[in-house]
Order: sequence, then structure tokens, then C-alpha cells
Amino acid sequence: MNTRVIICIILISFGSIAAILPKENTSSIRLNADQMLHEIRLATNLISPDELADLLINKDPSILLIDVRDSIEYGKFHLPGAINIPLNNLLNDNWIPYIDQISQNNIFYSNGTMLSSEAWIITKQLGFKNNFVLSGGINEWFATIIKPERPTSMAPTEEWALYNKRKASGMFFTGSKASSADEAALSLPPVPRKKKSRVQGGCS
Amino acid sequence: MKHINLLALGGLIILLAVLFGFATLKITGKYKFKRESTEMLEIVSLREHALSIDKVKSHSTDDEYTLIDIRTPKEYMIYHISNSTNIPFDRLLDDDNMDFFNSPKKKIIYGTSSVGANAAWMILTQLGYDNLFILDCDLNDWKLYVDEKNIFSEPPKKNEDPKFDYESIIKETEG
Repeated sequence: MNTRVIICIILISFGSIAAILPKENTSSIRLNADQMLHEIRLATNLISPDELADLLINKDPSILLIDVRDSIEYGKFHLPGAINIPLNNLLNDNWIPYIDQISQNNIFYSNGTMLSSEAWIITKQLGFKNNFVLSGGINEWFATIIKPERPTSMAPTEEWALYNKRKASGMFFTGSKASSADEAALSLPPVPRKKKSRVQGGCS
Repeated sequence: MKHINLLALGGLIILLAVLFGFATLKITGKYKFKRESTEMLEIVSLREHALSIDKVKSHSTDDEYTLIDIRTPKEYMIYHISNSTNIPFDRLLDDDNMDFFNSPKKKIIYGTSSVGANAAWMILTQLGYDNLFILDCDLNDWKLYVDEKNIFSEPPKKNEDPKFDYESIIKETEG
């Protein structure tokens, strides 16, 4: 038999087997379970309330806050500038342009971290980029920025500096003036200055 | 001439077989999600998987339920809920765990906080496993509330419960 004929027969048989195989990957899911597990372990999607406060105060134009709670909760209270996409509507056609894009960074948030993480996992596995999660949600936002816990007078300078910074951020967001007690705290030099710590890294 | 033809033919067959192998491999990947994102969104929107501390407490002695601890073996060694099995999060998809998740028993996943447990729940549910739940509270709260019977005025809050009255705090601090 002619070699060409044999090649043709082989090609046609492979082709016909490929044709009757189930259609490959009609799913829109881009990541598999193992990749998803890895992404979750990396936790590079988490933004702390302190980081968010800095972004908002600096009026970073690239971020968009997305509240994934229902509209009633959103109506009662939401973070400044946030839009509302309730989790169950996340994949509605009108919201897709917001969550599947490359021009801005979205930060999902909810009261805690569960709803927002669910939104992130679902968008991540679809291959959507630039989505993040506010770690701890509004609860942590209030606990650290709006109502930061006052350190003890014995607390190290760093802790006081962080408290004062958070207090100032909180005032920025609530528009409140410092009460006299807080002003005292702000001007209080709590502990003597520590020696300057050595620069880390480099050759020694 | 005949010899070269045969060689080319052999090479072609091997190439096609390899390509074919790759094509079919993708279809039967063991890590492939069985549930579509839209279906997953419907399931999470039901919010039936996150069980309160009181519910889990009542199930913890029930034979129908089994508890899964997804923290590291070291953390498990130091403290764990009695009658729980340790399946660390990074070994969640090991082959020998898959039979376990296939069993009809109801399983409640817990971790240091409910967020990690929820991530494990998301992955397993999307792989097509059913009968999975999570303990929706911090493990430390469980320790205080259930083991040490610390007097809480009310059960510890779920992760998504508001811990503050946001509205009134904002009103208070304004102006």
C-alpha cells in the first residue's frame, strides 16, 4: 500500500476519534482546585484596614471599594465611595465589566471576611484580575480605624505611633474633632525615645 | 526511500499519540472543578453551610457528624476539638483524603477562624463533594465558650455578624 494512503488513514482515524470525544472545557473556570488552594495559601489578596486607610486618605484613584452585602445593610452603612454588588448578583451581566477588568483595583468587603472571600474565590477562578479583599471587613475597620484601642501608658513608642495614626485616620473618615482626652493622648510623649535600630540587611 | 517513509510515518504516529494523550488528560484532571461558578454562587448565597457555635456543639456528640481540623499538625497537637480529624489545609487535596470526603457522613470543617475553613469548604464543594459544613466562629471562642464554659453573655458572634452598631458610632463621632 502507498505510504500516503496509510498516513491519510491514520490522520482520519485520529481526527474522527477526537471529534467524538466530549467537547473539551466548555467551562469558564480558569483555575483548578490545586491552583486555587495555592492562591488561597499565598493570601496576596488581603488588604489590611491600615493599608486601606492609607489608600483612601491619599485618594488613590485606582481603587474601587465593592460592598458585597445586601442592599439593606449597604444602605445603613458603607465605606466611603463604595458601590454595592450583593454577592448573589456578583455574576450578573451588568456587574461583569466592574469585576473583570484591568484598569482598576477592586477591594471586596463585607462585615467579616467570609462573603468577601467567597466573592474573591469565585472571581479568581474565572481568571478575573485585580480583585482584593479587605481583611477583617467592616468589623476590623471599626476596631482599628474608627475606634482604635488605646494602648497602655507602658506600651512601646511604636504602638502609640500606630494608635495616633489610626486615631487621625479615624477622624479623617468620621470628620470628628479630637476630644480633649484624645488630644492629651496625641501630645503625650509616652516613653523615652528608643535608640535608633540598626538598618537591617546588607553586608556586615 | 522506503526506509525514510517508514521512519516519517512512525514519527507522525508517535507525535499524534502524544498530542492525543495531552488532549484527553485535560478532560479527566482530578483537580477539575465540577461545579460552575454560577452554581457555586447560588450555593453560597443560601448561607446554609456556616453553622453557629451552638449548632456545632449539639452536633459534636452526634454520630452522623464528624469534625475536620484544617490547621497544621502542630496546632492540632496543642489543642483540638475532641473527636476531630486533622486534615491540614495544604494537604486537603491528597488522594487518601478524597475517599474520606466521599463518605456519606456529614462533615464540619473548622480552622483558627471561620475564613480558612470557608476556603476549604469552597474548594471541596466546588469539586462536587456534599454534606460539608463549617464552624462559623474562631476556635479560641469555642475553647472559651464550650471547653472552659466561660460565661459569655451571649454565644460568640459569627464572622459576618456586625460586631459594632456602625450607624450609631458614625453618628456619635460626627460633628
